[in-house]
Amino acid sequence: MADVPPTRMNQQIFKGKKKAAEGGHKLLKKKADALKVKFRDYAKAIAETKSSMTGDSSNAFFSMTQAEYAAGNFKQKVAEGSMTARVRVGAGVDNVAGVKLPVFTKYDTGAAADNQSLGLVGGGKKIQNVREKFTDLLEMLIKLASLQTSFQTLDEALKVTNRRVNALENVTIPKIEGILGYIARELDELEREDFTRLKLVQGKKEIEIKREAAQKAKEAAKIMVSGQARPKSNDADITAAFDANDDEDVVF
Amino acid sequence: MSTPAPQAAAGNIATFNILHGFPEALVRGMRSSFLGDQDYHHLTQCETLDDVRLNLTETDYGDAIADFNAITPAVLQKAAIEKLVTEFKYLRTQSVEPLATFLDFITYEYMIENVMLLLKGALSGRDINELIEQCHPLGMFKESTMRSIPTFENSARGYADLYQTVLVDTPVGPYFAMFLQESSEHQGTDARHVLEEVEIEIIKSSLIKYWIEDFYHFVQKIGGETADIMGELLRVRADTNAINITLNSFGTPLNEPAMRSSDRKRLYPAVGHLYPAGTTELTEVSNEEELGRVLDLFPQYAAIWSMHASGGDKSIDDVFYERDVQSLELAFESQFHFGVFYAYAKLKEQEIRNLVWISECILQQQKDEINKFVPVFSFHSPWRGSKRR
Amino acid sequence: MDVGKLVAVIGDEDTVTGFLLAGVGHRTAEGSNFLIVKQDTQLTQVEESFQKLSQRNDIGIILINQHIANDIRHVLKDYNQTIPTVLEIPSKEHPYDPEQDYIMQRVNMFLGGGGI
Repeated sequence: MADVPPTRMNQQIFKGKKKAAEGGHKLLKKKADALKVKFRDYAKAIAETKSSMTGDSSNAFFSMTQAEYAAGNFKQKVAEGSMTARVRVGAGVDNVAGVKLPVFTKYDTGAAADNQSLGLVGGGKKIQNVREKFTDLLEMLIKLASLQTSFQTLDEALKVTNRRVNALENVTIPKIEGILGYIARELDELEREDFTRLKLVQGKKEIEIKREAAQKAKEAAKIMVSGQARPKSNDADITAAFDANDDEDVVF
Repeated sequence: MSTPAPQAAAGNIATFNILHGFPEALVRGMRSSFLGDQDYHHLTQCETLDDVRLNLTETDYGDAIADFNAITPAVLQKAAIEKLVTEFKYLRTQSVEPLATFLDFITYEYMIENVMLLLKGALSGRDINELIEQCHPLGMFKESTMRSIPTFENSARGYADLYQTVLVDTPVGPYFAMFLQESSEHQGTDARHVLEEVEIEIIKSSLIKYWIEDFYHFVQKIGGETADIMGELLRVRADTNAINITLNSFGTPLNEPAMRSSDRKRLYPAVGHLYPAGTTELTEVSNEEELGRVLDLFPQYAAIWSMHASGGDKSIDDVFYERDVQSLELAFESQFHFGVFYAYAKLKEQEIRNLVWISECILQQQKDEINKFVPVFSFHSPWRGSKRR
Repeated sequence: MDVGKLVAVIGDEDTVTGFLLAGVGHRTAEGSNFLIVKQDTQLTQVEESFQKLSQRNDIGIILINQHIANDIRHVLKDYNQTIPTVLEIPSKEHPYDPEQDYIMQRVNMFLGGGGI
């Protein structure tokens, strides 16, 4: 802070800066609060969805067991052959207090299902059931993925915002205040220095004047001793020497 | 191999035991290895898979799972299938013609399954060893055949090569030939394109259809008790497939009016109670209601259908399984026929399915569902009534 | 990308099969957007697969079984991209444990009265 020349102009500039920083701090604090509220919502939603996921997925897995019982071992056939995804996720964007949150939405590409005649000679209906169960589960997981991504993004954004709030609160504003204090101190110091200097000058002047006056008095006395009109001239000379108009006013 | 086999027909009660008495005795002995009501009761009470393992050590599965420290449903399934395969292979080594061929016929079903898996794996360029690992051990070809399948390139040319050099030589080759021929006749496309264009599940269903027909004609040739009992089992199997294919095609392209008469019709086996009148009618149905109306004409299926249509606790698959178990158990009731071998393999398969089901239910904490399986040789089966216990 | 992003899956056979049936699977000449992790799958393979998936820009979400996520936790810890989002999901054999999920830890810390 020593780089800042302690001038009155700089004092004005830093006063402005302080105001801006405080304003920003207030705004960011508001943003952080807004994010926090949203963050809490997401956290709750994730906690809820994750716990319901357990039930849904065990349903889905059990449908697989049922299908296997009915259709025999069909699993290995599913993973063979080339395939084209029927389900994709579109990435949209949600906006919370200026933070962009990715949102996944499931959509069907309309491609024909693979392995449609799986379980043709038995268990086809059960396999169909597996498809449905897992499609449901997938839908939920995609929702969860959106929540989770948003949660992470918000987490990051919240951290950044909080960091900024803290930086403003604990670094920037104290720094500006420090500088302002420094400027004020320096200015005061200068004032005091001026005052002392002037006082000193004045003191010296007074001593000089006194000395001159004494000299004059001596000379007058000498004249008195040598001449006749010594006492008279002595009185008149002293008052003349202390004419108020001789001194300049001291201006601080 | 120098001794000429006696030329007696397998259906002949007087001579059956000369050739097939020992294997038959074996398979009947194996009947006692099925899990009983007590075993199932204990298993369903288990809280963890460790308990299941503990309970199984006292059953016939004890040796099969002894090497595993911890079991998962997948491990259990694998071990149980391996046990079945070992037993089946033992039966196979003890058998002479025509029983040997009969046992081979049973494995063709799994072979078809494996070929389809390998074909599909070849499409996506998977590692051959990984694929072989997933194949059903009962339907294994010779190792050299297995390895050569996925080496063909993924193109029409590659498929044609694959077919001409490998598939024709396997036991299921003739079914492929029939399928390709029929497809090319039907659609006028080049045979080599067919393998590429048709959905693999549909190829499989076609092959299974040919297999059922072939198997059926084979058992008819054997004659005697086998023709009766095994014939009935296969007829029912054919009908089940036809009904399932129809039911499961709803909502898929196979139910398009144009596809119904061209593609779906071709999947119906040309044997069974439904053939030909029923399957002709099935060709036309486009929804469950119409399917129900057709099945109403066949008393044995009307009952099954009504259980499905009523939307009760049991799905049509469950009802079919139950019916299968009942008729397969019956195969054990008479003597001098081969049906019992088929019944044994199928019932064991059901038992394995039950074991997997129970362990999955325990693993996934779905205790409410745990009793929804079909026990084999249970005293509580609905068709036994409750008089014995 | 003109048609939105893919959902990738790293999981056991049941999980992957289920989502493939739901229609997320995408396999092209370059590779697929899923990995079936079996008992004998090497950890490095899972890590590699995760790195590859997370660097693809046509993937929006990566679903990963929690027990597998735990195995490659060291990789996930260093992962700081927002997209693709990594979502930990339960598996058939391993019930979901919120304690181990990074996001849930954060959520709980926040909801449990902990501040920022």
